[in-house]
Amino acid sequence: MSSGTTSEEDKRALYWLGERLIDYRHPVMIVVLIVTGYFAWLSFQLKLETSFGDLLPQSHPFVQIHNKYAGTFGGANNIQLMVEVKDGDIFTVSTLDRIYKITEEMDRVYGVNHNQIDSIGHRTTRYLRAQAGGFLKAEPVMIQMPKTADDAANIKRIVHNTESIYGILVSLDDRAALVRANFIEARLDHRRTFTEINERVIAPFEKGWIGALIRGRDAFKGETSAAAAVDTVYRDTAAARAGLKVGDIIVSVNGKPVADRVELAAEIQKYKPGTTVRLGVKSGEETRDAQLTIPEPDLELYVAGEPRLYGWVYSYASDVFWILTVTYCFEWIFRWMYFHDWRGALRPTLTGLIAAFWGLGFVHIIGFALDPLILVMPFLVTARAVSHAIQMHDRYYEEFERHDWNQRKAIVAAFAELFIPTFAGVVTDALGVLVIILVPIVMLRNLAIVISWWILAITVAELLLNPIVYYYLRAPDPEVVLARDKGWYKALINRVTDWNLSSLGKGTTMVFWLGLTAVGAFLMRGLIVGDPTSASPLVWSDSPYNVSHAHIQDKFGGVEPLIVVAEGKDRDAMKDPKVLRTMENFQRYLERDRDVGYSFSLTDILRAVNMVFHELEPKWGVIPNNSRDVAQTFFIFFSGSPPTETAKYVDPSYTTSHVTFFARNHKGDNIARIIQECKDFIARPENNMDGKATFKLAGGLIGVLAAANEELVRNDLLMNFLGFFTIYVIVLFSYRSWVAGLYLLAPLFISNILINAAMAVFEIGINVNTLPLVTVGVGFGIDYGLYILSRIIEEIRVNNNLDLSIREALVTSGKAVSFTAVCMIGGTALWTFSNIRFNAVMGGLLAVWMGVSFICSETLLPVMISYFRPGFILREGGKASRRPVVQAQAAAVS
Amino acid sequence: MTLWESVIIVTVFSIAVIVMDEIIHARRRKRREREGAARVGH
Repeated sequence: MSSGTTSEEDKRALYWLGERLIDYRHPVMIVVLIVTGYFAWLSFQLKLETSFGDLLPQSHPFVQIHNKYAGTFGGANNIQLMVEVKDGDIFTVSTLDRIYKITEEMDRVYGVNHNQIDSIGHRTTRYLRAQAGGFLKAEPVMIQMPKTADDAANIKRIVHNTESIYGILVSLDDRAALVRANFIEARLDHRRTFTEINERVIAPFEKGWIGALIRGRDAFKGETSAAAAVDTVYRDTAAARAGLKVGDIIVSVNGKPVADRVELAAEIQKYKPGTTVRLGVKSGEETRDAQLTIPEPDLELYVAGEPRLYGWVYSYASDVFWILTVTYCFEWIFRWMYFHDWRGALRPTLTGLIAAFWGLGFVHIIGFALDPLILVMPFLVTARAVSHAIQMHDRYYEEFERHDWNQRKAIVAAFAELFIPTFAGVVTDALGVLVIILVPIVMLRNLAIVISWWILAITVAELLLNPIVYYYLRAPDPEVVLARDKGWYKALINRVTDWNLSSLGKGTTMVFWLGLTAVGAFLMRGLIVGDPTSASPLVWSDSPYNVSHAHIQDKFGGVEPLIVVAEGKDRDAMKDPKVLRTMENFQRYLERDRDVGYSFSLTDILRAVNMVFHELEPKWGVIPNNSRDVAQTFFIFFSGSPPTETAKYVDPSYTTSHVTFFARNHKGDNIARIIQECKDFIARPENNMDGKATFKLAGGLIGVLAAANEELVRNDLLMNFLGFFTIYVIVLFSYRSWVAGLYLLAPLFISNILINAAMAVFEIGINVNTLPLVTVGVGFGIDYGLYILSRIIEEIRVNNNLDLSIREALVTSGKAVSFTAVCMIGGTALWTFSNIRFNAVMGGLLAVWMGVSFICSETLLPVMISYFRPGFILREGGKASRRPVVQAQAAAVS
Repeated sequence: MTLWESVIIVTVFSIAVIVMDEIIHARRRKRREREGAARVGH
């Protein structure tokens, strides 16, 4: 064990600093507490929020096209709602009425773009109707709710004869209808959208359905609320059997008052089908009870789309609190058992808390909101803070014993001896994360700044405040300190260390890690950029969202839009037959791709109108040969529609339009392939549209994801390189050696390969959400190596024996490192229980990552040092032998 | 679970651990003192 005397000579300035911090403890403490208090106050004002625009690379040309046309041709934030009947088809009065009402309610959800709703129940979904005198007129499919079976049959006939509806908004088996709504990005409020769709769009028509339409408030009449008045009662339904009549007002369910139809539906859906409930019904002035048997829902609603997905993620976000609570309690117990003292449990908590307040307060200052998908990040940073504090506390105990139970000397020595590894570890982590700033995605840039700051804030608690806190706390009992060197844990560390440093252990360690690295390098070839599966990786495959998404995809082929804009040079460019034929060819070309379900463009309307104009003869389902005929055909269809409705097909001057492809999924490799096919088609000379228009990629969800994936591919390797380079440079300055960095980077490099391999095997793609976590992981393993290497150098300065120093470092700092690692891995692994699959997978992955880094640093690093005997460490031993203290010790030993 | 429920639980838990630890150490100190006094008496 080192004497402490030689270290004091080497680190005179740090010992002086430690002493001054204790001397000036009151002013330092007051300043830190005031600043921490301010940050804490800011922290409690933080909100959980996702800004869709911040997730996109705004400088990418695809995103610029998306931003330019999202308001007219449709954006990436679509909700798809599928109404599917359990028996028969949708063409019954009751079902069509509900589709109409569902569409109406969807139109009222906050943030919806009222002109970008597609549904047979919406005014903008039109068909061509021949009128007396041979005139054609485009009319909404459902101008009002059907009242009779004949009305329903008429709607069925219209749907079957309209190419742009049948198979697109109504399934080919007539059992499902799709309601598609686009949301305005600037008005996206995921929680509100989620709640409103659940309460107003789903509940009243699915599990809250009683067989009667209940009147809602009429916003046009300025109503802010409306009682649950019965509007229509359908035959042979629970409502009819309960004796409900038009005009009745339902005021309570089993005695519980219901103010409106939303509360009524919420109450009804609490009961299982077959249960009889007592409805309080008001007819005129009289109030009576009606016995209603809750019916089995006759239709099911499935909702998918990005706003819905984020809504689910937000609804699961409170998971973080129980994970945090359980982790906290477990960690307290672990630390208490390790240190045999409550101060050992409390001190790391203070460090984590102070760093967290500084970090979260800063988040608020820069106007950045927390996304539920990055909650693992703050958790990890706090775990790092706790980890450094455990190292410091362990060292404090060690120095307390060494300095004959002198508290002040122990505090200063622990501070000075661990200053370099702690500071180097913190700065390495912070700069390692800061390289994310290179990716031109606002959310990642903000995250890089916030997390770097947060990590740097650890120095405040760990280095500035630490000696002061120790000084205020009562010193531990000597028996508590001595207890650390006894027990099974210490014995285990000793045995593992002895085996690892034996000849057999060294050989086995080298072969094991080399073999594992080779296997990892082979497997990591399967790593992909983007989402690796068709289901959303953010939530579990059996989650309600993914079940809905899969159902809709099965029924309608593809629902995820890729919008390619056809930008004309002059007005009326979209009336040019050559331009239109190229758009049509584009559709047919890309529809050959197995993951493109169907497509839509202005030409579909044109061909359909032309055919209707010629008595539905299929041979006329073509694009007219000259601009005049094209213009006339468009006029027929669009003449009765306001510009706000036609804008989603073509701009009012006919300069710009779009071709929209609906993809079956957004798997990373499929997106890359589809985009490449688009580029191939556009690049062909015959598709240049005589220079009258050009195709611009790309809007819609597929377009913006393609942009994000392209940016990630471009920056992933660079960030990895810079991450490692930053670590190398800091280690270079910390140890003044060119090779020290190589020794410390070896475990990180191996961990990185193994984690990339694990991501490939477990189908975790590199995307906007995973990238920051993966980048953080690169730097997080370095701390273990830094503490062990620093201790080896410290020991060799005293005993001038490399192998003895390695062993001493592993049973002292290595022991604390192993305890820290176990705590961190345990805490992070708890995330695997999260309802958010992304958090669960990333928690598990990071736990494995820290485990691999830890084991590699504890086994491979010392073995490499022992094998290759690096000069930068031996040099320190050489200095030690020249010191009088060591010479005296050596003489005493001999 | 909400943020404040979480804060209350971890605070109560921490206080419980601190109190328990102090009780354990106080008992040990008393035992040591008794044993020390007994040895002196012999």
